[in-house]
Amino acid sequence: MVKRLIPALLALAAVLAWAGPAAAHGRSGEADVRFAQTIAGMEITVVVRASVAVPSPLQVDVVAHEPGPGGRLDLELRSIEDGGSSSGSVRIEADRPGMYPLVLAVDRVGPHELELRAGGERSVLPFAVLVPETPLWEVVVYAAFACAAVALIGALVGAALARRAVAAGFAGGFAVATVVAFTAGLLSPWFAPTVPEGAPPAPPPEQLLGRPNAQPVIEVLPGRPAPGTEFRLRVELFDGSTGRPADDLVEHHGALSHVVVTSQDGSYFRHVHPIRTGPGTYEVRLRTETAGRHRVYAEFERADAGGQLVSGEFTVAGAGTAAEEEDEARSGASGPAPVLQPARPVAGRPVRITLDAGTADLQPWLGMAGHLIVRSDDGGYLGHVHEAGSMAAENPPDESVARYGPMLEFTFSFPRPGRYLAWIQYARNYRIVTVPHVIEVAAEGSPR
Amino acid sequence: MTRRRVYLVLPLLLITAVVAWLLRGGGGSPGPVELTGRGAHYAVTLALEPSTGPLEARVEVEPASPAEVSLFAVMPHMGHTTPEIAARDDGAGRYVARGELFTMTGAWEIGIRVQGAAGTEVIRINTLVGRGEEETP
Repeated sequence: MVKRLIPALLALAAVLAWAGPAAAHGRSGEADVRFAQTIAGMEITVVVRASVAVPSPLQVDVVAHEPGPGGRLDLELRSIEDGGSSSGSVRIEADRPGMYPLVLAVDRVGPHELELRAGGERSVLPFAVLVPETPLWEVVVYAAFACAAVALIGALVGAALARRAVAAGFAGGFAVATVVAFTAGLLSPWFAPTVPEGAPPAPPPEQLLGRPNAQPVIEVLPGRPAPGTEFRLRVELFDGSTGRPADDLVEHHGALSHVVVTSQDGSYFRHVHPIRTGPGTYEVRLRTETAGRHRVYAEFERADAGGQLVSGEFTVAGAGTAAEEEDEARSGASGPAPVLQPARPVAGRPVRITLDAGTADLQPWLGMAGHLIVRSDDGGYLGHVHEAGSMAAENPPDESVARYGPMLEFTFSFPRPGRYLAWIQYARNYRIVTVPHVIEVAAEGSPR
Repeated sequence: MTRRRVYLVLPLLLITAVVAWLLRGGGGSPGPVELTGRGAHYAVTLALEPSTGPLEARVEVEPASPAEVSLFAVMPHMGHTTPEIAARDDGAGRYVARGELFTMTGAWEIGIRVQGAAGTEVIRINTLVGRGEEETP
């Protein structure tokens, strides 16, 4: 009996092990999709909830962090395979940061575009609607247990009716089904994970070699904006190997691209999320009172590749006043300054930076309880550090969960000695709070 | 009779073993490991249990001249680093450090910083970190 079972089990194991290529760096079908966007003077995060089945209603939450002037936001979801679309809108109120839910409909899996329209601006965000696929081993386990249950009842009935052959047959079936169920269940950790339905085709893991570099063209329109006037900052990304637009960005810390703009002296600071106006083209409307040179950094991630940072600069004409901007850079911040340990950091050695936010009701923003952005004084280095406690969470909570704080802790090794400009950002009552700080970093072995 | 009993007892034993294995956490937390690393001036042997939560790490430095030893960890995949833990001198080139080195499971790189008469260097050792037992949820 057992000898007869072994080939069958081996065949089953072989079938289960051949479960198709693994989704390398692919999003799981169970995760929400997040797009932070700076559109029409608002800082929002559009959360597309994971779908369990398709066709189905699709829950979309617009989280308004900085509602700005508010206004109507139109959303349209389009399948780029059959053009089927669904649209809806929310009205964001000027003084009410928070969640604005709406329901769209999705009728197929695969590549989609989410179009956002507000205040004359239009952003098209590509993403894939995924539905988690039940792994084959799970189906086998459930089916085998169901067969075992039927066989057990059959065996009991056979025994009760004193039909020896029937009882023995069912008992044998019960044993076989149980063995199959346990074998499949126990071997499951070794099977390749299933690829969610609708995932883009991916090469096998051994052929994943990353992607070529992306190079930026960073410009402002008009070319030399005046202080206090609105201008457009455009980041275009081009592939370093083909020269084509690099239009394969994927969600990276809750946005397709994160753009940090700072004036040379650091008095002006913005962490924004440009809208995608065309293939590989990201734009954001800004306004600054600070004249002079400004540094631009764009952080993003191409599909099947790691994070990248590109930078550029622009100049604001004339001589503006920096005083007003300083207030803006310190938006909503009150309370103690961050505490460094050791108090006098040394280049190349980890330093712990702790900020007491004062309350324990902080919300995650871009997936983390806090973000620390560090710029060297000359602007040559830009670091982005995540809050240590929230990083370790396997299932990070939603934006609506206010349970972080009061202590936000970051660990970072400053690469070189010198002066660094730092900004800590976190979300409270949905609003983004920015705490600027200046850190002097000593050289190793210098007098303390 | 005895043969029948064998048929009954063997599956039961197997099921008990499986249940015990699953209750332990399907492989459980990794046991203590001894890792070695060598730099230009020093060779270190590091004994610790690579798991999240508070831990005790024992470092043996060769040559055993007096040195300042501290430990930190980096998770390159996540862009994560932890603060340095200073190790206490336990005599004869042995040092003990207590604290939290790993904040999550996965592949970590431990940096052992040795500052002594021969010079200062950071020796790097890679390890795989499992879930600690006393970790609070």
